[in-house]
Amino acid sequence: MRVLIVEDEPRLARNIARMLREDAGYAVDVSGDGEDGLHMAITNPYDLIVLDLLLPKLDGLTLLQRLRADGKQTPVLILTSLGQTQDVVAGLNAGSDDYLTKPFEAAEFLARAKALVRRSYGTGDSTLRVADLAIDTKARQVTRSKHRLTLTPMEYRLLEYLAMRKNQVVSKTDILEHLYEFNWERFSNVVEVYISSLRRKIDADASGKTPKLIVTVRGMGYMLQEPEEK
Amino acid sequence: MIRRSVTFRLVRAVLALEVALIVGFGLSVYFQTAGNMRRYFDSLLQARADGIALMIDNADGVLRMEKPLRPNTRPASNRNPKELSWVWSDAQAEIEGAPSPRGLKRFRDAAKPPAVGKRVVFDVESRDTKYRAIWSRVVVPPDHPTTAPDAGPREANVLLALSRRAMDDAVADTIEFLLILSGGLLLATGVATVLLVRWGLWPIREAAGEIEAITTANVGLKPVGTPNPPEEIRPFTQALNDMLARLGRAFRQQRDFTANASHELRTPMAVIKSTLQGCLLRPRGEAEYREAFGEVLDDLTRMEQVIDQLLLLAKLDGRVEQNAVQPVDLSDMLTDLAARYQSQADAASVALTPPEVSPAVVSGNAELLELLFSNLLGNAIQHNRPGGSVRLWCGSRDGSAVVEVSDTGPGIPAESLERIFDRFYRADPSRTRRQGNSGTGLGLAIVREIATVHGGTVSAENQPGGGAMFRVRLPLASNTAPATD
Repeated sequence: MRVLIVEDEPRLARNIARMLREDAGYAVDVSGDGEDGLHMAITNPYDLIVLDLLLPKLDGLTLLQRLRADGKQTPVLILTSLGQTQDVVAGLNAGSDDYLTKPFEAAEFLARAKALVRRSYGTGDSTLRVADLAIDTKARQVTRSKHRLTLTPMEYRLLEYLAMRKNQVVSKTDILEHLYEFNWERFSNVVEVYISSLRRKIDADASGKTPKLIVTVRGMGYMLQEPEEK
Repeated sequence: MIRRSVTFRLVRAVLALEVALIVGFGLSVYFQTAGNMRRYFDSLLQARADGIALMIDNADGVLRMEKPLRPNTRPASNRNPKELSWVWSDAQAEIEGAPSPRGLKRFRDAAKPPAVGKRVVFDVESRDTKYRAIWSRVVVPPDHPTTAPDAGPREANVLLALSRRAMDDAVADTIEFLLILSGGLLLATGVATVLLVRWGLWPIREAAGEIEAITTANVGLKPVGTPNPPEEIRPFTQALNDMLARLGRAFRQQRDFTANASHELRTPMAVIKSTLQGCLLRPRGEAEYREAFGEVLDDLTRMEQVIDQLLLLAKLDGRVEQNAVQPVDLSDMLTDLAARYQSQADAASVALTPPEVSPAVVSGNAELLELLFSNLLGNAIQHNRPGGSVRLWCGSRDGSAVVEVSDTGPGIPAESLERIFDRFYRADPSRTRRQGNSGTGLGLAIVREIATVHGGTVSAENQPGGGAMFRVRLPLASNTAPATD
């Protein structure tokens, strides 16, 4: 999953980015002002935007309003020191999904961020399940038939994304856009490499009892598919 | 209880005036009308009496009526006759054609007999009817010139009485009409005045209604009342709106200050917290921990600065501690400061020109004054350009000590000149700690507070050649003592 942080306090932005990368395994982009932030939010497909309200060039509320006016439904978590009721109300009315005042507890921030991402994909449970595959997003652990699987950070990120969009076809472009940060190089064959390494770990013993979950859809992409009831 | 109501007073005054006018007008109309009517009546009476007199023939000394006069009888309706007339002569017992003398006595007795050729007009009442009568004594010349021995002019009396009823009724009608009209006028005026006053004062009631809706959140944002109030109300609504605007500004300043102070403290706290908690997410190397500790210390220092300044502002609150007041020569203080800030100026490649100072002694707190000028000097060095300069001037002018600190920096945007001394005011509303912006936003607020506490002022202006100039004016020692507890 890919997150955008719009925050002008550089150390704070760096700290939040690190939390999201290390704990949640998300790809994170950072922007230091409102104008640039709005541009990033509109041109890239983020799964969550963490937004500060007091920003240079364009304030957070206006950014949010313009984002929503543009039709973007990206979940937004407002993070700011303005904690008066009217500020909270203004933020929610402008289209944010959650609100956290600084200073905040890291654990709370992470839990809320992950919950917002889950909700936007339609899942309530923090553990994503497909057949006997279980992805615990809290602890970042993956098990299949109760066997613990060890995944690299990128493999986990890819699997989580496929699981959020389970039973939907996910194109290579989608994958690249949701797994890589802004200034990273993207090579499209990288996707195939990660898919095959993921298959080796998840669908290793694909047979009748443990069906293949990662499916290739010719010409369109990949899908994590819930097997049909037999 | 007497109602202290403008409407009541106005109505009362207007009606009183109106009553006076009406009474005056009414009386004059009455007298005029009644007088006219009486004159008309009298002339009618006269004309009729003359007419009767002309009908008296004198044929060879014998008087007789050309045409018999109508007898004075009571009308069948039993009302008193409208017209009564008699013709008689002392020289002749009976005049043919004249009505019987019945009832004449009453009328004759009511008046003083006129001289010959004259007439008298008088009022009589007979049988509950009021009459106006005329008694005319005429000389009737002979009809034809004759030489008969008894012929010659004869004296005759004509007495004509007309019922005054018609005239009296007309006068009564006039009075009645005037009274009704007056009553109506007074009523209409009263009602109209009440309504007009209410209408005229409507803008005030409307403004009062709008004032009800004012809360601390929206005070002073929108003027109260119609944009174009009537002239009389204008000064009031103007003053009211000015006051509301001032109040609103003060409220918002207070609220902004609280919000800003909160932000200025919460932000470094959030950074510290996230640094430490982020660090603890997983095991780190010693180098990372060291770096984290260093950052936390920086942020704590920043918080410390903000807290110190906030506390200083709170303490200053218009007072100077009594025991710390002493005479301070600003020229010495500035020279000192310039020496101390030399290295900072060098580091910023800014030339600190030797202060142009002449003695200026004020009475105040040396520590606070030093802080004041330090802030200004520090700002001048910081908001400057490489290769620029800072100029310090100090002296006395017009009974005050004056200090001017000028720089060759970007100057101050015109619209901010007034507000830069507000707490936490920054031309850019975000608080980015970008290069050259390491201040807390309270420096100038503290400068102003210290100046105020010493009974002085501070102002900022842009210089024609570029750069800003801050001027501090303080009362010279022995002029005024600064405000103490």
